[in-house]
Amino acid sequence: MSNRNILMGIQGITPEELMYLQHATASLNEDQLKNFVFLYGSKRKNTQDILLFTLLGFLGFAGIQRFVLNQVAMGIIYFLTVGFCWIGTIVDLINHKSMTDEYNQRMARESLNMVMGGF
Amino acid sequence: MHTADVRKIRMTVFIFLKFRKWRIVDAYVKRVKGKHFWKSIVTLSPMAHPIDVYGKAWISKLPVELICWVSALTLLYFSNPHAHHFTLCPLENAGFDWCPGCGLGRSIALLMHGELEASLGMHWLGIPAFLVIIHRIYTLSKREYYIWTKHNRHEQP
Repeated sequence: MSNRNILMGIQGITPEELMYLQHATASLNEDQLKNFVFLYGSKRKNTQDILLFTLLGFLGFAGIQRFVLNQVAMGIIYFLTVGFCWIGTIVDLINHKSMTDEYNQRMARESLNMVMGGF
Repeated sequence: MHTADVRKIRMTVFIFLKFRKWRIVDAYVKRVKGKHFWKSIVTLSPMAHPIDVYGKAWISKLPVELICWVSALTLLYFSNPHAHHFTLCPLENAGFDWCPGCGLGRSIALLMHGELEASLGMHWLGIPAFLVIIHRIYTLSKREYYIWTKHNRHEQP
């Protein structure tokens, strides 16, 4: 697809993410696509960062990954209960990839809306 | 599903029904998918429905977090909140006497049985935690619903 080259310029993008974005941005023209890459690139989070934030939970600072992924209420409860006594932290450790994917896909839709709305 | 994938599966099923010989299917699958035969069998099996264009297998699409929250709430509902016999908590099993989350599970269990005051007394975060978990379950199941019903994943909420 023709939009792949521009999308590949996003820092740290994964192949699955690239496939997702290729289909999501198929209808954009080149200018819109460049705006999309700018917006999405600043909004997206890296899987490894989320993994590191989750690992901090074992030291007592649990729930930072939830704050970073915009789940503030969940983050507060994680923080005050040390990630449900570590169990929640372990679940997040297993689940960090799909949590990041969920967040990134939401950000992609938001950026898409902004671009379509004439950003 | 991708048109090419549909065509591949159709062709495979057609060949299988016509000749009823695994060798032919085998050869066809090998030609389509290269040398990773078992991988391609997994991809073509009904468990992989719907195969999406993002090339993900069904097991990596399991909603781990959703399963965890729902099973946690179910287990808590059927546990006895007044007793404290066993614990999953790794901190307590490691020998710590107290952690800030102690009593949260019993608090949520009491809340689900309608004992508000006992729940507040057990742990003050029980009620907000319960609401937040319910909200998270709602969000995750909405996402799951859209993943399984919408044609393209970028049409999700």
